[in-house]
Amino acid sequence: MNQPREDRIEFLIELEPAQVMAQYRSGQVTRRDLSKLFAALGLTAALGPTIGRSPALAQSNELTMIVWEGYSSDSLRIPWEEANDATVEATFASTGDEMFAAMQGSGGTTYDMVSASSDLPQRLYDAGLLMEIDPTKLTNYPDLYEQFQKPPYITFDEKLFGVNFAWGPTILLYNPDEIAEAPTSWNALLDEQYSGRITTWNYPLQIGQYALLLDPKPEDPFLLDDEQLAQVKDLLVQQRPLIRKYWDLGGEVAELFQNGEVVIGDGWSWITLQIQGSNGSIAEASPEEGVTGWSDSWCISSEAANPELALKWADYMIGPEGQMGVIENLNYSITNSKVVETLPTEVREQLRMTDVPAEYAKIHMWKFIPNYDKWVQVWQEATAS
Amino acid sequence: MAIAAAVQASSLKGAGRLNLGPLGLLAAPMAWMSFFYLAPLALLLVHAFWSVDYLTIDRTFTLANIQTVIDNPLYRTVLVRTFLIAAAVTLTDIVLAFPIAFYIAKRVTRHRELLLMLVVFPLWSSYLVRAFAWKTILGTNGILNSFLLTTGIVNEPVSAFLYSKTGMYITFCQVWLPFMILPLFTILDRMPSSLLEAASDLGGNWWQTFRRIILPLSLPGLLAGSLSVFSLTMGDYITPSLIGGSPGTELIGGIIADQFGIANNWPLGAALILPVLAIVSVFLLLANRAGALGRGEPG
Amino acid sequence: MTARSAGALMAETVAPAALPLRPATRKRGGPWLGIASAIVYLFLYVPLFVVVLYSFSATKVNAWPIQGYTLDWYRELMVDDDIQESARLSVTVGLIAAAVAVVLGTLAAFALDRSTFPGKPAFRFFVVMPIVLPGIVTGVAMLSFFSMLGWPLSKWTIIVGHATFCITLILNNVVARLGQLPRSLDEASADLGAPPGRTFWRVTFPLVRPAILAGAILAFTLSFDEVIVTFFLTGRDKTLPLLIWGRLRQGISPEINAAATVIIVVSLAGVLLSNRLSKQTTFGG
Repeated sequence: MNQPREDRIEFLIELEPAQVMAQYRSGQVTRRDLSKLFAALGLTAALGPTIGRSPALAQSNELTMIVWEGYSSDSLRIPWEEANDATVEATFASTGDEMFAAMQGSGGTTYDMVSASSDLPQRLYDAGLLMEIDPTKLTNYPDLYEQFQKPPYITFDEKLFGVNFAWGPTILLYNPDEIAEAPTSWNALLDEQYSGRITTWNYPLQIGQYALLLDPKPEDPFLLDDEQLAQVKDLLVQQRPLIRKYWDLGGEVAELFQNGEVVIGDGWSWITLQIQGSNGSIAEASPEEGVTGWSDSWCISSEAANPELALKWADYMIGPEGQMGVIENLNYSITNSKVVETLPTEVREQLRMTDVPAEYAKIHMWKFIPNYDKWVQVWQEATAS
Repeated sequence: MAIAAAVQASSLKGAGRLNLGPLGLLAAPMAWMSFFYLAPLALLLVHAFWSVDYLTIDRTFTLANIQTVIDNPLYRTVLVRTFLIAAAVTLTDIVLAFPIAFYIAKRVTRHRELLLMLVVFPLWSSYLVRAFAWKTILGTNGILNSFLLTTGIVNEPVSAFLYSKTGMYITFCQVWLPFMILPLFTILDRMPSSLLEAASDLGGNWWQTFRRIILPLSLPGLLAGSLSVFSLTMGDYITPSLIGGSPGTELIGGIIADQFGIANNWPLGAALILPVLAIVSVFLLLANRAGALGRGEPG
Repeated sequence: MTARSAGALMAETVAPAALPLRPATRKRGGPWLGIASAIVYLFLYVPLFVVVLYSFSATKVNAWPIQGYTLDWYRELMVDDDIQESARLSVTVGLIAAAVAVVLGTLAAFALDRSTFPGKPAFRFFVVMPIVLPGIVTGVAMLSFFSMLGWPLSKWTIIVGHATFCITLILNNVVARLGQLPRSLDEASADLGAPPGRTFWRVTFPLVRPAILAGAILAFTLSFDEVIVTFFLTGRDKTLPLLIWGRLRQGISPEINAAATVIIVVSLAGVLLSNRLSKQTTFGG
């Protein structure tokens, strides 16, 4: 620490990036030193022939991703960062649409990875934004249940474009202090007695969830004809005046419950954990009409700055550490059969993993919707009034 | 670059008074504004006549988007609603701005600067945070409801303050208010006090003085302020998202933003901008004619 | 974007160059005007008080009354690398955008003040547009433009977006000041034999400098607070408002309140500084 600053920067420039990062982590190098170093390198780069390119150091060990909330929780991210001398820069998206827009807006250069749910990869693939994944490079890949190794939503032209690592349902959340008996139907979200105290996710894909209420119930709530769409729209229009707020991000749902703005809504287990974490009252219910759900995969951008690093992250997330992290941080179901086998029975029961293929099949998983523009239109019109 | 050519021609005529020709001075700003503002704006307008085919933009001319904007009741409803809220906010801010602007301009002798600074200061803090603060104030268990409950004005919390159009209206009125006060103050400050005294000496009561003299004379300031407040409300999607109940569809700004940010339908987004552009431009032209856009040039 | 319009349309009042002391009109109408003004001031300031107050709240829940007080959020703020990084980015963007705008805006202001040319009213009209049209228009227009050119979105695209509306601010500020200067000053200087260059640097520029400075500070502040244009023009970089926006959407508030309180205090310093600067070079006060 006694070395004069300028000398130290010169010294740092000579080091390998990984060494610099190691020194930074161990506290030998301060953040200020680092930024000076970057400035020095940036200056060198700008003066040199590589004008306009970021210095390699700044990028080589940074992984940028656009994800659902919770997938970059500290306890998931930090061990991996330390093991790989890398940093994860995560941005939260509120919908798959937002992920798509963020990926497409920059032609895939902004984010190296995206935690795509089962509806999204098709669109990303069609837009040429996905990189093929070689499963032989993933050490944990053989441990995945067979159904998660090459599922249709990440397999295009026989090639693999994602690493399926988590799944789960969208469920009913309610405040047990206000609602004594657990609701059993999605109709609770259209119940007059909760008028002005209901929240629902602001996402056209949610039409599928409300389609479960139609009579007769569509075989697949994500394949609706125009008439069925119109029926769902009627439901949504009827629901509109009862809604306190259409939520965008999971953290917002937690806030709505805790500030006493709502007593019932839809959401995911991660939200439940958030509210419980700050001592709020919350309970989950699984309606009898069935549930919609998601199956999430790590997809890599075709323009990813460092695909190798992205693969490492994906591999980590389907390995024992990552999979346990998914359970602990998010309460979501996982895809690695070896890890599932190590779980205590009550966890397996609670997370629908006593018989994974059978229980997975019960959830209406999100899927690519061919007439999605119509869904968007219906959703906008229904929520606008 | 016709303008630039014209500028050059005129600078030759005017040679002698200036040795730096206006062309020289204007070249850089003109180039910047043309390239980074006019060209993008033109491109945006062109987008309105294209269409989107799944993931790609189809560049064949079509009026389909314009047709959608006109025909679809959703966009009509939201446009009208946005216009009405913007108008209501503008009128409210005029009413709120007048006393304070008049007070600082004409009644205060000491601490004028300080009082004016106090009007400006909220602009220097974050707009996002000011809008967000209203969430805390207007919530079901928020400050306003607690106040109303303890004073016995209401018996149970009013939920209509937050996640509602009322909430957006209140928030807009507050966040944009300084934009109304400032131009109004400037114009009132320049209004000769003798005029007001003469009016009252002639026996006019304050209302007559206000209506016959102050109001007409402060029109440019009023228009300048109104233009700001109105235009800011017309394009906003932040407040609807924080304070409104249906973030994406409360106001037209949200719908436009979603077309670009989420729905990935840039042509429709561009077409939705046209009516906003038209309304604001009409306002702008009116304000310009009334001399509200700065006094840097004659006419 | 927030503060853009006011600045544009009546810029010189935003950093008022020492208001001349004027006799007030004879008092009439009792105290009502003062009371009405006080209420409006209260309305303006209530949200700011709330922000500052809740930055000390011990719970995350925004309920009234506050359950307990803490400095934790400030401590968290101090170790929050993301916020600090965003703040640095915002400062960089603001400084560069303001610098670009000062050069281009001042040039344009002189051109407008010192000459007449065909199309001048049109140019004057066109140059206020970036500030008068809603920010969303500027944002998406530039987004589609950069996308067509194939320019990747980055810090630089944000800077271009900010500089464009900042030009208008500087321009209006300087034009207003030039309009107040008697033309005879230039003529006197010329009559005394000073070459035009010297007249500019020795006479005109010093007189205009406060307006440029005030405009630059304003431009910086507005850039620092801009959300809407930035939202469309950013790549992976997050300016402070974008970061705040992201967190507010997630319902994370106390630390944001602390950050906002810091911003309020810093801006207060900025306001006082700007006021001081414009005072120094004018007719006392």
